[in-house]
Amino acid sequence: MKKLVLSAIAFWTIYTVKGQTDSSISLNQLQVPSTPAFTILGVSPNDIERPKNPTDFAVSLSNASQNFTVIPKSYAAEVAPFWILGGKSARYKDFEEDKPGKNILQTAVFSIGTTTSHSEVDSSEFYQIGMALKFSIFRGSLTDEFKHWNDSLHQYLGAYAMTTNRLYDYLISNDKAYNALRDSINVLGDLIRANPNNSALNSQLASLTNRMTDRSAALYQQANDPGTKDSTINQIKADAKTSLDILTHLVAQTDFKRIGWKWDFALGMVLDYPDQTFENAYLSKLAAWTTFGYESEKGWSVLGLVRGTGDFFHQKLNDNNVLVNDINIGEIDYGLRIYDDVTPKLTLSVEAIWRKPIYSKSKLSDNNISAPQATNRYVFTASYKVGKNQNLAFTYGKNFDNSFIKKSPGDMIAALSLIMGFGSTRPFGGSSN
Amino acid sequence: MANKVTNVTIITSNTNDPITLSVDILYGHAATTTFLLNHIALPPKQDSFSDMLLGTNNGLRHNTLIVTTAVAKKAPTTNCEVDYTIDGALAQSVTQSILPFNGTDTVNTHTIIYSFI
Repeated sequence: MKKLVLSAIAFWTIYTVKGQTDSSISLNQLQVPSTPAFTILGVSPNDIERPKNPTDFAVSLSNASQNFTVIPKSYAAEVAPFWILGGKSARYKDFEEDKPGKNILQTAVFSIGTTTSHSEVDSSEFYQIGMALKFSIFRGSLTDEFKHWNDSLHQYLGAYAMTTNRLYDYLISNDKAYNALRDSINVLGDLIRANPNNSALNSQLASLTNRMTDRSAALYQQANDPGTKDSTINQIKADAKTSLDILTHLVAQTDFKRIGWKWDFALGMVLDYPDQTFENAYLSKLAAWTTFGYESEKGWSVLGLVRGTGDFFHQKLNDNNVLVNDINIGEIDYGLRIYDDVTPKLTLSVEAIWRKPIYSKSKLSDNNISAPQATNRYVFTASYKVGKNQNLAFTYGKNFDNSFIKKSPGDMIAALSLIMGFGSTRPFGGSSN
Repeated sequence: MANKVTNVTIITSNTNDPITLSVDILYGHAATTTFLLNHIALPPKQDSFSDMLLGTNNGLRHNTLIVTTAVAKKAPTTNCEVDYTIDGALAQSVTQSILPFNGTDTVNTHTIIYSFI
């Protein structure tokens, strides 16, 4: 069953990436993903994620420590339903604006991930699947750098479009066949104006118009033949190439930041598969969290987190090492993360989260389980982009002291994580270190 | 870089009512639209726009307007459609120009050649 699940995930991953990924455009906008599914599974180096814009589809894998000698055990895929369904209603200005309704629609991302964990009962390894829905309510505004770039982009799009206009104008003005068709429809125009409902005349007009389309398309194709000797055509083509070269350069420089106030919201759940079978899966965690803060143009940012989590233990060892069933413990987390983009590739951050447990005293005492204590987590992370879609993150700090995992208090965590993303391009302003 | 051309015939009325052009760029891509009306360039327009005044019915008759929209792929989809709408003539004219981005294309052009008759 384990092999079946892994094979299914691997096949689905490869199939969907092959089928839907659009990696042909050289836009360096696919940032390393901080998939919400990884966050709820505890795979992400940081609990407080930087807001980002979605891709239509992305796959992530994470390999923590072990010198990267093992096959990664954590995978996640995320889809943005709006873009997967086509995104037809999106308009370019939507990316520039920061309106909650459109933000929610365009940034909603559903992610699903898997990782492995160990049973506290017998230490056996089992799989967990996390699912999360995340969206941005506010995602900040684009910078002046973007506005300058945007002006240049539209200027050269206009220059390029005008060369196409000039080419068609030259081609159809100097083509006898096209002008003969044009003269014919002028005559038809007078007749149709007098008899607007005459279907035969309208049908004839449609036919002539289609022939004009075919003729103009053929002329354009001929003009683009490299062997064309016409000096006017060659001059227009040279002008078009100049504009296109600049456009290609501009399109490649689009890794723009969003600055200002940001507010994300996410919901997630984790299913445990204790004996690697779907039949015995159970819900082990539910969580809702919101991230909010300010991202400056200079690179530093402050983000706050409020998170409510419910942990549902199907079976649990009590203080006497006796298995007890159905223990629920909740947690309220509130935290802060400060980070600084020291260079375009290197991001340093510190994160502190305080946790307050919520539980039924009588339920725990009846089952001989010690009450969980308020705790905290603080980590330092250095995240470096080692490749276009790859982040190497070094994390050092103190994790939550969770007595149910039986880790010693003050357990220090130090891990290297490689998180890689595969997917298509995204609109402006993604950040996810 | 691909181009799609469509010829559209617009039947004018015997009036001096204005004729306008609206262009809608779908799927969130960036675009600039340029115009040549009887070989003369009109000011370009960025992205989607509505009700650009072209002239009157009587004034535009027997004229040719070439409209080209250059679209840059800026949204996470290869789908691309530009809708052109002419209002004010004998009948409304709506033309959908669909040209997906493929291969290494970063910019495509959509051309409509309007013949006013």
